Amino acid sequence: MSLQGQALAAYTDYIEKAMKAEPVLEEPSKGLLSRNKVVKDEDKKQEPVDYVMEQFKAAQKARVMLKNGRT
Amino acid sequence: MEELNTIMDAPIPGQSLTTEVGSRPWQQPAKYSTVEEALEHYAKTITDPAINEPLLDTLEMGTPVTSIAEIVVQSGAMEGLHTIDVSILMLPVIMELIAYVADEAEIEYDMGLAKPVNTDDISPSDIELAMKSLKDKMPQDEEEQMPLPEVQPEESTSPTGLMARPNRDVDTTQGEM
Repeated sequence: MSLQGQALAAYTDYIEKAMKAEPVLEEPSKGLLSRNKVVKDEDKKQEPVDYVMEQFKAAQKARVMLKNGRT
Repeated sequence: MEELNTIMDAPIPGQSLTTEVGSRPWQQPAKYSTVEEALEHYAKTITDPAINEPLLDTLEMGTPVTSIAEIVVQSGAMEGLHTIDVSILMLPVIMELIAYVADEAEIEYDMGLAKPVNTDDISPSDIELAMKSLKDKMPQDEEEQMPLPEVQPEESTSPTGLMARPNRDVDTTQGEM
């Protein structure tokens, strides 16, 4: 089997996914004076970690930082 | 002719069965069974300045990153480093890594994502469509055209008010009399 155009398809797919991904929000503080409602840990949804996507974003970020640093 | 040559270069059906099963590297269990392991191997190889010299040369010659990434992972699969499924999963990260190395070496490269569009080129079909729409907008018959308004010569009017200047011709005649 030879690869013919799979790279283009995969890269475009990952770029789209990375662009559509929602930003990670910081959790509100749980101090004594906090008025935020306490959420049980077991109620939080554990989303599966996409290792390849994480690596893709890290590589992308490194490339952008390299470009920004130069200009 | 070129297409015929590529067909002739393809393996003969059943050629893979002519060798003993397991004698090829890709018929053995892969060295890196997970994406993590395989990516670690490629990250080291691609970012190592002592090894990536030919890779940068190929990029500089104008080969798109997509093609290079495909060749790299396919050769890895043929060597028995990982399976073809792992190859496809790794492709986007490998492409980013290659682009990063090229950026670091300040090389201009082509990602191979889309062909640049020359806006100066207008296809004949577009020209035909434009001509057709122009024809549709034009009036069908010449008789239906709006008639031009006739220009009438302006009549010279002499001032008739009390303070109006008297006409010179009239004055001269009055003086003579």
